Amino acid sequence: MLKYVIKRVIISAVTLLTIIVVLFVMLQFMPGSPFNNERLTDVQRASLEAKYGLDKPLWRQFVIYVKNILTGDFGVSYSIQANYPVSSLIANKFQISIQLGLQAGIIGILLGVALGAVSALFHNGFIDSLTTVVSMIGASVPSQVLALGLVYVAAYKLGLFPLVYKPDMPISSTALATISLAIFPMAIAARFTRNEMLEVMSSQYITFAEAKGVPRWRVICIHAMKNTLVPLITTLSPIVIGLMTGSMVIENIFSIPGIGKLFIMGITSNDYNVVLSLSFIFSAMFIGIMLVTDLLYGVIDPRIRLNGGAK
Amino acid sequence: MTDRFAFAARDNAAADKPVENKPRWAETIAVFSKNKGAVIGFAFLLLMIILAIAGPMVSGYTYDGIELSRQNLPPRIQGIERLGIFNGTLGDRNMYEAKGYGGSYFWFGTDKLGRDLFTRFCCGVRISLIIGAISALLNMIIGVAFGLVSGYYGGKPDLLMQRFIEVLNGIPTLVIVSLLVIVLKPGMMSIIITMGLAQWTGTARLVRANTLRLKETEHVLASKTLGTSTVKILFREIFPNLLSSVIVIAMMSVPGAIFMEAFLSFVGLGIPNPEASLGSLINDGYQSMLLYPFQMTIPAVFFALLMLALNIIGDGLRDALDPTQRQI
Repeated sequence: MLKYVIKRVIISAVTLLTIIVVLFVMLQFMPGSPFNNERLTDVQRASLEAKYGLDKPLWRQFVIYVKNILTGDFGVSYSIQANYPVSSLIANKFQISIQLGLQAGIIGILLGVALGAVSALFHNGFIDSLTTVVSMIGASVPSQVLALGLVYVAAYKLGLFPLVYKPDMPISSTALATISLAIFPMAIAARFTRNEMLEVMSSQYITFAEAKGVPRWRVICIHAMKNTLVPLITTLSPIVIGLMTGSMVIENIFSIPGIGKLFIMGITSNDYNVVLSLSFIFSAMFIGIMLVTDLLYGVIDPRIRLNGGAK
Repeated sequence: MTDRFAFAARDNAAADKPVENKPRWAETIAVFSKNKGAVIGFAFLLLMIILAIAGPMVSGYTYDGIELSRQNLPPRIQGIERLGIFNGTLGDRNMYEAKGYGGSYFWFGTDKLGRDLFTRFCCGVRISLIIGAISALLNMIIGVAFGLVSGYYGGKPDLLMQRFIEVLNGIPTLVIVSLLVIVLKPGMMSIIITMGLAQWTGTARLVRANTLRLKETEHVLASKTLGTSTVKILFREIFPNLLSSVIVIAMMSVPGAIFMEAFLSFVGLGIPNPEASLGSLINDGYQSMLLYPFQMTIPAVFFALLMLALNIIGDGLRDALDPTQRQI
C-alpha cells in the first residue's frame, strides 16, 4: 500500500511540475506580457527584472517562477484589473465556482445513482428505457446548448428565474446554472450505476442473501448498493473535467462571477497572467482530486493497490 | 425393447445446415444495422455530410456575403411558409416585405451582417466534421504508434512511456487545449492539432494492453521464428487484430473533438470569422438570443442532434466491432 501511495504521489507531483514547465514556457512566448511593454520606464523595468529575476539565467528564473506559483504569487493582472494581484482577483471568485460545482456535482451524482439503480431494478421496463435515453442525451448534448435552452425557455419566456446572476438571490439565480451543469454528472452516474447494479444483482452473494430471506429493500439498499457505489469513484475523473469545462461556459451564460468566467475574460482580453494562473489552479485541483480518488479507491478496493494501480 | 425407447427428437435439419461464413465486415454491418438507434444516427450523420458538401451549392448564397440591408431576417422556407411557420415573420411583421426582400428565401434566416445562415450552417457543419474526423485520425495514428511500441518492446521503454502517459493524463484537456490554441493562434489547423495531441492517451493505453496480449499469441511467435522483421510483425500480425477496437475508440473521440471546438468558440478561441463552425454559429447566435432566437436555436439543435448521433453511432459500432470495450 505504501508503495502504491508513494508512486501515486510522485506521479502527481511530476504532473504538476510538467504543467508548471509548460506554463513557464508559455510565459516566454505569450505576446504582450508586462515585461516587454514599451511604456515601461527603465526604473520600472529594472524593478520588474529584479523581482522576477529576469536578469538571471533561465533556470534561475524557473526556480523563482516555481517558488512564486507555489506560494500563491501569480503576479499582477494587466488588463482585467490593471496591476491588481491575480491571486486576490481569483480569491474573490473562487467561492461561487466551488459552490456551483459542488451543487451540480452532488445533485447530479445523487440523481444519477437513484435513476440508475431504479432502472437496473426494473430492467428493460419503461423507466429503464427512459433512463437510457436521458443518460444518452445528457452525456452527449453539450452543457452550453442545455444552458441556452433553459435560459431562453425558463428564464426569458416563462420568467421563472432571473436572466443573469444576482448576488442577493443566490439560490434562484444559480438554479438554472446548477441544472445545466448537473445533467452531465447525472447521465454518467446513471449509466454507470445501471450497468454496475445489473451485474451486482446477478451475482451469487445477492442470490444467497435473497435465499436467506433478507428483505428485498435491505438486499438492494445495503448489500447491492455497497458494491455498486465503490466503482462509481472511477467515473469521477470525467465528471470533474465535465464540471470544469461546463462551468466556464455556464458561468459566462449566466454571468456568474466565478473563475470560469474569469478564465474566459482573461482569454478575450489577452490577460495571460490570469489565464496561466487559472490554468495552474484548474490543473492542481484536477490532479489533487484524482490523487485523492485513486488513493481512496486503493483503500477500498484491494485489487487496485495489489497490482500497482493498473486499471 | 426398442419400441419402448425412441431417440429424442433430433433436429437433423439444423445440425446439418452449414454455418454461413460471412466476412467480418458483413457481420459487422449486420449487427450494426440491427441497432435501430445507430441506423437512425447514421442516417442523420449522412444527411449532415450531404448538407456540408452540397448545401452551399444549392443555397445560392455565399457564407461570407455581407449585405447589411438584409440583416437579421428570420427563416423562410418555400412551401412550409403557408403553414404559418418559417414564413419570415418576426412578431406580426413580415420582415422580408419590410426590408424589400419579398422574393427571397433564407431557409435559416440571416445574421446581423446579412449573411445567409443556411450557407453558414452548412459550412459550419463541414468544418466541425472535418475537425472531428482529422483529429480522430491523428489520435489514432499517435495512439497506435505509441501503444504498439510501448506494448511490444516492454521493459524500460514501456515503463517510461507509461509514466509519460500517466503524467499527460493528469493534465485537464481544457487547460492544454486552450493554452495550445492561444500559442498556435486560433484556426482550424491549430484546433485539429491540439485535439489530436490531447486525446491520444486513451487509444495508446488500449493499443498497449491489446499488444501485450497479442504478442504472446501463436501466429506472432510463428512469424518471429520465421525471422519476420519487427515492423512487419507489428503491422501485419498485431495491428490487424486491434484495428476494430482502435476504430471504435477513434469513432468515440469524434464527438469529443467537435465538442471541444464548440467550447473553444465559446471561449473566444474558435474558428475566426468569416469562417464558421457549429460552435461559432451558436456563439454568434447567443449574442442576440433574446431578439433573434432563431440565430441560435437552429445551430444549437442541430449541434445537439449531431453529438447525439455521433455518440449513438459510436456505441453501435462498439457493440458490433468490439463488445469488450463496453464500460461506462
